Amino acid sequence: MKTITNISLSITLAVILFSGCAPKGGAGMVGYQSDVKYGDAKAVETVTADFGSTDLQTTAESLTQSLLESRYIAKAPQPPKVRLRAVNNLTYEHIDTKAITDKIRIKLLKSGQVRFLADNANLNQVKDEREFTESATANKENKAMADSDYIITGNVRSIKKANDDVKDVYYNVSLELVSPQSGEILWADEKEIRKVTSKSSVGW
Amino acid sequence: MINSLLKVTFRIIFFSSLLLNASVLTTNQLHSGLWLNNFQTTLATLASDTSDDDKFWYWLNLARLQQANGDFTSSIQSFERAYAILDEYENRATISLRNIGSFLGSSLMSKGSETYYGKGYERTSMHTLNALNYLMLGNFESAAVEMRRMEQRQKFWLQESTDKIKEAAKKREEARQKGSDTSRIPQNYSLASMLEDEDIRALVNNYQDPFSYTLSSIILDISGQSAASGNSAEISLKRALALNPDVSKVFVTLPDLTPKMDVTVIVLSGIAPAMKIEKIRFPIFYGANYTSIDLPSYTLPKNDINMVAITTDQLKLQPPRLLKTDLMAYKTLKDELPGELAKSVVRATTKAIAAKQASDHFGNLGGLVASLVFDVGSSYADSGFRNWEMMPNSGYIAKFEAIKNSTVNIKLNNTQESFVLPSDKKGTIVLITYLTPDNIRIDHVTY
Repeated sequence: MKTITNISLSITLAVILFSGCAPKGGAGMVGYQSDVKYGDAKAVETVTADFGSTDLQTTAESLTQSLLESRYIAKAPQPPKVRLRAVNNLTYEHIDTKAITDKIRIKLLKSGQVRFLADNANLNQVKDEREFTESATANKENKAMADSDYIITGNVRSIKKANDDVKDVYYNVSLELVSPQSGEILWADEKEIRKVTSKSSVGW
Repeated sequence: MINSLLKVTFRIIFFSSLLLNASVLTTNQLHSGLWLNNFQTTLATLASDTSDDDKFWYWLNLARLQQANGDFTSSIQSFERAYAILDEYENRATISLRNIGSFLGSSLMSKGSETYYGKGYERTSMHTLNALNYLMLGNFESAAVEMRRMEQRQKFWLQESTDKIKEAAKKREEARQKGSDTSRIPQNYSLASMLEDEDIRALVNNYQDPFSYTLSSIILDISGQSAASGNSAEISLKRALALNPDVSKVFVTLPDLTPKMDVTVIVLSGIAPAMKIEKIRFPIFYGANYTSIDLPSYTLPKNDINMVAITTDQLKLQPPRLLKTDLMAYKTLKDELPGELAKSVVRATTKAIAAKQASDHFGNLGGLVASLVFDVGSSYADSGFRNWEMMPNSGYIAKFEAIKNSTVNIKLNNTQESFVLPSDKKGTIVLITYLTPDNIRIDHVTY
């Protein structure tokens, strides 16, 4: 009986030791079992209450659709030339607002209803746009590049509230379609997002 | 010759002490390691030391030294690690086993059993300093995010402070029922008179500083976000002025100057007071045994300057000291002392009862051994109780107009530094970090 126990213990020990020496994978280990897996890029993400991929997607989807339905785009005799300016991040998070504008640009371009001019994302005010247009008008080659029918600007804002049990974060993403000549805001819409996280009652 | 020998000897002693204590840099080692000759070694040792990487203060100390070394990207990452630790603490379950354990330990055994999550002034200043990192990288939008976070962070501190005040009142009542007076500060307590200082009394509160709000106003203005966020730059400036009227001296305009540009000079100097736990021992039961009251306390700030003077061909100004970390630390301590005193009396009583029981069972020697065991045990726990020791002690801001391509001279006590302004920019922000008289760094960004 004692011998059987000793043999069993030896086998167990050997298995543990050998498994400890097993390779952990690396370059060229195609098909090696690991924790990495593909996920659905469109799946709802609720890892934290921060501005995430789902918020980015729903915001871009909703605001693009609204813009395309506006009469300045839908009823334009020919696709207008648009310049997409930066969206200001006015939240408490380091949000990459370029990701929002890039997504909106792609969706608008795919619709075929607008034409985009190369943008300078660092200039974010209508005044800059007007100065740019005026200075470029002197040069005919630059004029075509600078003359936009409309510019799109926007803001992302957030309001955070918390008490002992609940944390509430409200995001508001707004876009505006502005005439660079008159400064008139022709269209504006917003997407609101609210995220609520609750503290567990008892925990580590 | 003698000086060189002394320097070499000092460096050998310094490096030897680092090698002997390779795992953890003590407060004293950090302080002595800020001089230019030792700074890179200190920073490398601190960065490679992972033994305290679950501590809030470790990441703050590292972030500050990385910033002082001009490594703004690494400093941002370190600040983010500190935020993560604080966020986890702030979002714990309503009934958290860790909080209960820490509370019981600090109530019954020693102050050092508490995990340190920073005081209000540290929690707000970490965002202010991180905003400076983003500024120096030319990322004004992210700098503005940090300034908004600075304000947001204050809300949790206020809630925590309110809870502490309630808890202190409860402890005081418990102590009173047991016949202990917790209303008087012990005479032997080293900071007893300093806490009554007029400058400390004059502070509006222990977590809001005019330096952060002035900087916030400048950042929001430069980033072009003020109008989009309800004139937030003006609101920040009003708050700064309410905290310290000297903020009005920060801004100097010279209308007739041409071609001119905006120059913002920010000076961070000195090292904040380091936290320590002070034991006031007293005998009990005819002197055979003893117990102690242990109270949080602070060392004095180090390496600070007392004067910043800026001169150009057109102006001469002395920016006001807006960040006063030492005063905020003392103000926090003053506000929290009634609660700390009540808790320390409860701890002293617990230890005294245990010593008495040991004395009853094993005689006077048993009581003395019990007293010693408690003393040594709590001293060990207290030695790991540290705050953001590398936080700057002072902060100065000046925003003025100057002619492009001209020279700006800055005097920090007796040390003079100069730099030439660019000729083709709208403005520049200059960050001067003064760690020691020989370790001064100047960084700038233009816009």
